[in-house]
Amino acid sequence: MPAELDNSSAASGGEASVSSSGNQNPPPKSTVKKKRSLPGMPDPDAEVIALSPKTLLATNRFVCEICNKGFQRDQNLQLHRRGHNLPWKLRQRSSNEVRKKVYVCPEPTCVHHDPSRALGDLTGIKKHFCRKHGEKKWKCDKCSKKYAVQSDWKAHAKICGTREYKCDCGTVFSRRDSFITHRAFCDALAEESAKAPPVPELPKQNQNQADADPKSDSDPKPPAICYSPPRAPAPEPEPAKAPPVVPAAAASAAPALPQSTSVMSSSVLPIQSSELPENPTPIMEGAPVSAPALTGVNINCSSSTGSVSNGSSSNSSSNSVFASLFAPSTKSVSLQPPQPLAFTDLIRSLSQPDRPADLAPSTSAEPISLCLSTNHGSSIFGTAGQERRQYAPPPQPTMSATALLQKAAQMGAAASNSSLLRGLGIVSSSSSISAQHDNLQWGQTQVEPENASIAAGLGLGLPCDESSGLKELMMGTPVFGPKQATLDFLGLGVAASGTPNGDFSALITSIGGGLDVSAAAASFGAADFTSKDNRRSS
Amino acid sequence: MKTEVRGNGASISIQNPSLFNTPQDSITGALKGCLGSLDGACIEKLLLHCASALENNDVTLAQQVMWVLNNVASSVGDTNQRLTSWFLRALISRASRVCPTAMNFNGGSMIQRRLMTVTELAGYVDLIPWHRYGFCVSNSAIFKAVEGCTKVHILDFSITHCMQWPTLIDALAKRPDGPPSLRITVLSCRPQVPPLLNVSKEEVGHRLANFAKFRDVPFEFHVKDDPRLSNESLAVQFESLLTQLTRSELDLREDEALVINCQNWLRYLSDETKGNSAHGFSLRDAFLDIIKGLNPRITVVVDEDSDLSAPSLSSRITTCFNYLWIPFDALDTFLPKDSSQRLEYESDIGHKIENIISFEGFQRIERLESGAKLSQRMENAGFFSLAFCEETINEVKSLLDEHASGWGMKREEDMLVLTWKGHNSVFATAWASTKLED
Repeated sequence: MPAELDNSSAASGGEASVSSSGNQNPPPKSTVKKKRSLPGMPDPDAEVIALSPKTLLATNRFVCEICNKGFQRDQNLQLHRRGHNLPWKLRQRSSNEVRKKVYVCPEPTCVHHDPSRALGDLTGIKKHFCRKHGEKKWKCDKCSKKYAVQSDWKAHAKICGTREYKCDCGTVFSRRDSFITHRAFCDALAEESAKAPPVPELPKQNQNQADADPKSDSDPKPPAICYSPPRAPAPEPEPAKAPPVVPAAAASAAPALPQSTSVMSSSVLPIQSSELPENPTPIMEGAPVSAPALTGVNINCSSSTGSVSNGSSSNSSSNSVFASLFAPSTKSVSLQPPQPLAFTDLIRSLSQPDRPADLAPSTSAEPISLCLSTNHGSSIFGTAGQERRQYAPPPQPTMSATALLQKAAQMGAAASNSSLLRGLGIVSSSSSISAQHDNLQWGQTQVEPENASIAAGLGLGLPCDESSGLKELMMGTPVFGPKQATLDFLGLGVAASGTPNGDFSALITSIGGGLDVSAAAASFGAADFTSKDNRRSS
Repeated sequence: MKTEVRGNGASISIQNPSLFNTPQDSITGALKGCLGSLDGACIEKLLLHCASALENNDVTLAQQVMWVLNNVASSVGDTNQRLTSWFLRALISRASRVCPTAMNFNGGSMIQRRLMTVTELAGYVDLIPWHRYGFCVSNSAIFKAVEGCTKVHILDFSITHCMQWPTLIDALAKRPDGPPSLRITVLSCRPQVPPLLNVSKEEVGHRLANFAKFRDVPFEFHVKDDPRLSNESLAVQFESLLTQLTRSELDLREDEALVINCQNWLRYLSDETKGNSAHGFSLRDAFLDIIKGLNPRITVVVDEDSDLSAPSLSSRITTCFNYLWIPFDALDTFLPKDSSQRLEYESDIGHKIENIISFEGFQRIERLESGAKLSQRMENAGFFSLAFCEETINEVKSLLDEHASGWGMKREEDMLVLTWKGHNSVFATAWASTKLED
């Protein structure tokens, strides 16, 4: 017969550690029996139960009301209940003997954490918790939306793709506002409006020419990009009929040419000439008559209006001109070919955070202090390829945070000749940082690559695993809770010795020294979290 | 090593200095199994240690801490690791400025600039509701405020290149009494911060105009330009900007409803009070004063809800670290670790981190203040707070429903705040320049 196991151990599904609650070691399932009045609840005598995240994430839906043990199948639950040696009448599982239970969500920030917002049934709270605070294990193939509850995922999969918005360019959106924003800027729209019947805007051009001269030397107003739809339908391009709905600004878009637009206009000019044939009215042809500078602006305006009015290739061609003017560089420059990670490379790769460098795997024999040239690839400086490949946590670290800090102290002691200042380099002729990025200004630092002490001095470039084993190590220390005394932890005032080790040991004291105090008090299992830790340890 | 932490922790504490002399070969092997994700608070302390070390010119300590941090940091790791990697970058960047090199140092950013196409940007602002929230609230408030108006002029001060406007144009197009004529004016000067486009503002305007035409909304687009200043610093450009914000320069018209839209913008206006001003007036205050003088129908201000402009570096590090985990965490919930969109978004946040942590003086252009402080400032400037109506709130709710379940919204007085897992992320406010509402 089934052993009387604790419910939490039976819940094998509970291993999915909840990200948001941050309870790496959730407290054992607790039943809180509170008798309190619950405003808004239909049954004020209901018993409020707070289950642990583990329990809630369990996949057992059938729960024994006596011991709360969960089962995947009702038959198993019934079998189990027999083991309780219930009096005959209770075997019938009559609900009126059992007091109504309501369930609260264990996540403190959740609205359902409040007993007055408790949910009425176990399945409900489990689904809620799983949905809102659980790991989303189910993913829709079409839209990549993720779900924590399998039934939600299935329900979504049925409707996914049915009510979506599709742009002419082929991109699909499930949300209307994303669709609209995309559509507004998409090239496809520009091409589509090319097919719309041309609408004249030309009297405005005339006005510009006529009225603009007195203004031409006056204050330089930048050209406006305008669109005015015809108030009266005008299927035929008839300039005479086009109503003067032009906003004053268009007319006042003075042809005087600020320098910044001159570049544009000179490039726009050729487009204009290609547009002209499309425009049936003669007035447009008159536009480029005036001085080129003047024309430039007019054309700019007119091409925009003209383009708006007859849609057409003017938009796309002007797009392409603009696009070519501002050479799009949406891709970051790729990293240099992999090299031994000298300090120079470190700095170089600082500017290219997203491109991993496939650096040589480590040789374990190298002492820590000479890490730069030997290593596994820096973690933040050009992420090592191996990191990217693996997402499963690597084997547990053999080093704790304390040990790491101690090592750092040793390193500091060993490489006391080097300094960050020198490490960053002030003078050297060789191996300047590539100047291909004009924004990598400070990177003009140069380093003597042969200077091992510099490389050692910085000591960077060690690999970083993604294991989270340390989380458990750090959990028990209340040192991490309070925030206010951050500067106190520096202890730099205390360690007035001025030796590097002295400072660093103060550092270790502040971060790791809490182990002393807490060791006796804190049991390994109990976690004492602030909500801050909860959220950040996710 | 777990035994270190358990009850016998005392035995390996600092009181046992012999540990410092552990022979290297026993450590070397341990090197490989390197530190994973430290607790967030621990990382924060390390960052503070490093910053303090830099400020005290204690380079040895700084490098030691950087070494430790480097073992934690990973731009493709978990949230903490990613955050750490950007903070570490910023600290190193700062360290490099501590010791300027012999070469000509322009003080540029270390992070690669990335230019997007307009359609990429459209997708970018919708990755998480961070921007879309602000757009939704503002557009809804604007729509309400211009009810019955036939002409609307929007002064757009934002860094998102008009991504906000298509949905407003769409809403206006569907107005029962027909759309108003819409005019949008943007400035030519914009801080060089992400997101960056690979096309000009004029081009953006072209496309927007095209879209407006498609929806039959009368539309104009203006770029307020002062070409003399194109090579000047942002501060100078902004100072000049203030002189350009007049009725004539902006060509404001009497029959227009004027709307001022400030999205992630005010933070770039300097808050240094002018030496000769007895009232502590800064550029930011001057801007608000001018804006108010234009008598807009409504002014909407949206920005991130955090104070990131403290003079103390440590304070900035702490606040920054305790705030920017929010977008990192949000991205983490639904994008995989190697998602390029996620990495790019995080890189842009890293850009911000770098500016806040690594720069000082006029180069530190990110001077964000929280919603509460901003509201106080607006009130001091003579604005009156407007509450958002139920329709707006419902729109935002349905927006958030379409995103991951951690997003929420709450009201703080008249301010609406986007929350992630209950933490304030973006605030939205609306203001009137006169007490009487028409």
